[in-house]
Amino acid sequence: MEETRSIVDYSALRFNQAAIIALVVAGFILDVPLLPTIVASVLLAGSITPNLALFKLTYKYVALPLKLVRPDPVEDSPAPHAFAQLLGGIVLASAVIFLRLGLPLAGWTLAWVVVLLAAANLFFGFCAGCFVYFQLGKIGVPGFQPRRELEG
Amino acid sequence: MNLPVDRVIWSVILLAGFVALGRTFVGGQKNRQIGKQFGKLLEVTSRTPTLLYFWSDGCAQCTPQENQIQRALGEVEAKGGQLSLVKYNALQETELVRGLNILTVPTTILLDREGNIAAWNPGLTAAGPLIAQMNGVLHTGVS
Repeated sequence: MEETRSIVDYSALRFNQAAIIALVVAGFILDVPLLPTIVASVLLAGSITPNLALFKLTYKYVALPLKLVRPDPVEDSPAPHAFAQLLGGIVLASAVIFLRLGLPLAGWTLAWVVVLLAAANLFFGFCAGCFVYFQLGKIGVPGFQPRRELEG
Repeated sequence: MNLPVDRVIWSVILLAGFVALGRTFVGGQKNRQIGKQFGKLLEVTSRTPTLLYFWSDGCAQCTPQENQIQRALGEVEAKGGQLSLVKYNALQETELVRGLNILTVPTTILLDREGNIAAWNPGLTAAGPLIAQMNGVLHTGVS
């Protein structure tokens, strides 16, 4: 019997969520759409290739060496977290589009949805993207079911 | 630079308010006496702390959660602690899921010796926090 076990650094996840919250809220306070634009770009690019996940790179090459944070490896499936990042990037990109179209209420409302869902994960460990991932797997959407163990 | 005070106030209200609401909701799940309310549905051994574990098919984090639970139970039992583990398929136990406010899977709920909820964990919970929670209920109410 084979089992796929993978490790997720929860410290990196929390760093990611804190960066999202800090930058988007700063953008809201200063009314600078560039900040959520940058965050959306980082989330979407990081979903395509981990080499472009700027927050995770900052965590790995700045925060860790400076001992600002400590790694927190936990056995977990990375797929739901990657999906949550993609979902956050899509919603935030939609927010940016509304802001560029001169619809600040719609834009900042969507941006705050992303902030609050990141806060739910950061403070309560509730992963909204993981919840959606599970719901899609439950209804049988291809690509959202976990790899089955091979039974000998 | 002049900070827009209204936006700062809104940001504080939204973030702090959301966290406070969340803590209130999670806190509201704790200390609920569910042994009597769901006695027929729960396979709970009286006077023994019990870990309820909600899982389902299609849950990518449920296999890692099972491993974390087994690790936590192993460490606690190696030091003489005794806990029961009961697993529920969240897709089948709809009455329990509704009554216990199960929002996602995996979810773990720790009951103390009296059947009160001592910990309510939505989402994957690592072995470390589970061990701390288990030790908390094992070392209270011991006669």
